[in-house]
Order: sequence, then C-alpha cells, then structure tokens
Amino acid sequence: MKLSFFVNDRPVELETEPDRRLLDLLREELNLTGVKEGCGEGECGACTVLMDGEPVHACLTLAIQLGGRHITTIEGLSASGELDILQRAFVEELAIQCGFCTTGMILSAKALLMKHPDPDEAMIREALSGNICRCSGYVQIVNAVKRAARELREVGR
Amino acid sequence: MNCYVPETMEQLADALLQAGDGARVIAGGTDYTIRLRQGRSAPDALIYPGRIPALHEIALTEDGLRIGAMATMNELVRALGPVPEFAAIADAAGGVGSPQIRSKATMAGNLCNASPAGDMLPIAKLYDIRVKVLDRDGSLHTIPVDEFLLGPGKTALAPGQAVVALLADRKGREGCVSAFHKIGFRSHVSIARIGMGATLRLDEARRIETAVLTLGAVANVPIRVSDAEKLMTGRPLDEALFADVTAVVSKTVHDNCRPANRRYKTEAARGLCADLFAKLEQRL
Repeated sequence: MKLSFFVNDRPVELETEPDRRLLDLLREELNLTGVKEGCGEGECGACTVLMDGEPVHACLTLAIQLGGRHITTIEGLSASGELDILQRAFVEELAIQCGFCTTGMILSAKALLMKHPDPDEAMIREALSGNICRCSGYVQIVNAVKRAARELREVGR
Repeated sequence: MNCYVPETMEQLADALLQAGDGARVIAGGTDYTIRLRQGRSAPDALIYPGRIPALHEIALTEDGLRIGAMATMNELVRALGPVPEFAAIADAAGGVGSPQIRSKATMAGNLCNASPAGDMLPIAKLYDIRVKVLDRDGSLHTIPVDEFLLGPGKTALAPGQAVVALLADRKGREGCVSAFHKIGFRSHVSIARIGMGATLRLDEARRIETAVLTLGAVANVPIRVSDAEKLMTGRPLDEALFADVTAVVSKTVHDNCRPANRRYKTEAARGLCADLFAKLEQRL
C-alpha cells in the first residue's frame, strides 16, 4: 500500500505492507531509532509514540491505520537541536538508568502535560502506568515529570 | 496483502464485498495485531474503517446511546463519565489496559474479540446492547448482545460483515446510576479476573425500584444475576440487602465458574460486591 502520514510534523510517503508495524517503519524505514521494542505486545510501553497527540504503542499500530495521522517520536521533541524541557528534567532528576524505557516514559509524560499542565502525583502515575521501568522504583521518573510541569508553567507565564 | 481504507459506509460495504471471506476488519488493533504477529490469524486482506467519520461518534440522545465502532476507550471515558446511567461504560473503558491501549482500543473491537475476560462484555450485557452490523450487500441489521457473543473468540459476525455501532436504550433508565468494578492482578494495566457491572434506581422512598447486575470473566459469556436483581427490588440499600446480594452473587460465581478458579473467584466475588456497592452509593 501507499502510505502518506506525518512524522514529527514532516510529511512522509512510503510504499509498505498494510500489516507492517509503525515500530518497524520508524526504526527501519525512517531511521528513527529512539523508539524501542521491549515486549512487542503492548505490555511494557517502551515503544510509546504519540499519534495525533495521544500515546500509542508503535508495536500495536499497523501501517493500514496510519494514513493522514501525525506521529511524534522522541526525535521530534528536540527537532531544534535543543532538548525539550521534559528531556532535560529526566537528565537533571537522574530519572534514567539503562535508558530503554526512557523515550516511552517521556512521550507518555508529554501526552499528559499537553492536556494537564498541572498534574498531581496520582495523575502522573496513571499516565505512566503503561510504561514499565525495570531499573528504578519510578521515584525519580515521577519527580522529573513534576519538575518539567513546574518549569513548563513558569515558561508559560 | 490487499488492504482497504474506506471513507464512507458505501465504500465499507464495497470493501467487504471485494475483499472476500478471508478478509479481517481491524479497529484499534490492540488485540488483533498480537494475534497477527503470532500467526494465529492469516487474513488475505485487511479492512480499516477508521477513516469513516461517523464511526467515531458517540451520540447520546433522549432515546438512546449510539457508540460508533471506532470510538476509543478514552473517548468513552470522556463522553460517558458524566452521564449517571451510562457511567459504568466509562468505568470499564477507563480500566482497559494502559493509556496507550485506551487511545486506540474500541468497545466494538472488545466485543468482536470476545475474550471472556473482556471488560466490555459484561457492560454490553448490562445495557442489552444491540450490535449494528453492515453487510457486504449494503444492508444493515442489529443483533442482540446475547445472540452476538457465542463463546471465547466466537461471535455471530459472519464473513463479509462489519460492526458499525453499538446501541443502547436510554428510555427506562432515567434516574439510574451505574458502575463497573473489576478485580485484577494489580491496580493498573490489568486483565480482569472477575468484573461486575450494575445499574440501579431508587424510588422516592429510597427503595430500589430497578436493578441490573452482570458478571464478567466468570463463564464463557457474561452472566446476568437475575436472582440478585429480584431480591433487591423494593428494599432499601442497607447492610441486610448488601449481605443478601453478596451471597447470591457469590453463589452465581461458584455455580458458573471453571473448577480451577472456583474457590478464588467465589471468595473474590464478595470483595467485588463491596467495591461495586461503594461506587454505586457514592453516585446515588
């Protein structure tokens, strides 16, 4: 099938099979390797990207579902060459250990902060409930999201 | 593999006709992609109706509720959470999988997948949902949920057909509150080990006028607990009533459950009743 969609605000056209996963299109066709394959069945959240602003599993999204959609990957957050506030907050709060879950975590957090700029801890934990980190106890990760929310609100003022 | 991405209902009927019996219709794809990858499904063609705007609508009128086949769990949470008589749908949709799953997964897909543990199955039974189906000849017909759900992975949907909407009556549910609760292995991202939905209406004297109770993840298809509904009618929502309902629900689970799970689920049903009634009481 001929597929036209948007990745990080750029139009993309590809010839692909309808049952090809978004995960493979991003990594193999577009060389966007920030998206990771963890479990490959929608349990771990490592492959989380945004589709029209909502977090989705790139491993459970097929090419046939993508026409006209806007996909945001971790690379899209630092398109200007500077890290996004969320990325910086993860670095500053030491919310990264092995890093494999990090891009998915940041994109789930991004989806939350776009809708709710002032989330409480319960909302943060709910938003990250589909992202598994096997290094940490999630404390630094939650702190990073709180910090980013605070900084984003300050920038907004 | 052939693929069809129709943009109107007419094009969908046409796609069902052209694609033939070996085609599969995919909605959110959160279950189906896994089956496809595991080689448990090998379709000749895929049909994705997600670009038909009408299929995304959740329409609530005085008479009824119409849930488009492509409406996501997140959209159900937002649309129906504030509507007391349909809040059970939002409860169940909000507990399906993770935020990532709820961005794409649909109630229609959950029913078509027909896993006995699917959270939307007891919900469909709770509201006597009618499944609206489009046939490849362009005709539409509705199937009552009891005739649609036939067992694990089995539905009445024939090749060349696609679910386009789910319908529920609003008449007769005026003044009802509703809730759904499930018990899983953990608080989030959990598959139900047992789930229960209820709608309830009190009269002016605060006695139960009507009640409907359904159980999921107990038998192959969801169960309506009619014995409990009967004993509730005309009584106040007090401790004695709660004890009686709990006993009946627990016995219903015991009698319908596979032996391997019977002891656990019979006991879990008691806690489930407590949680569900706490939710209902908050909403009355």
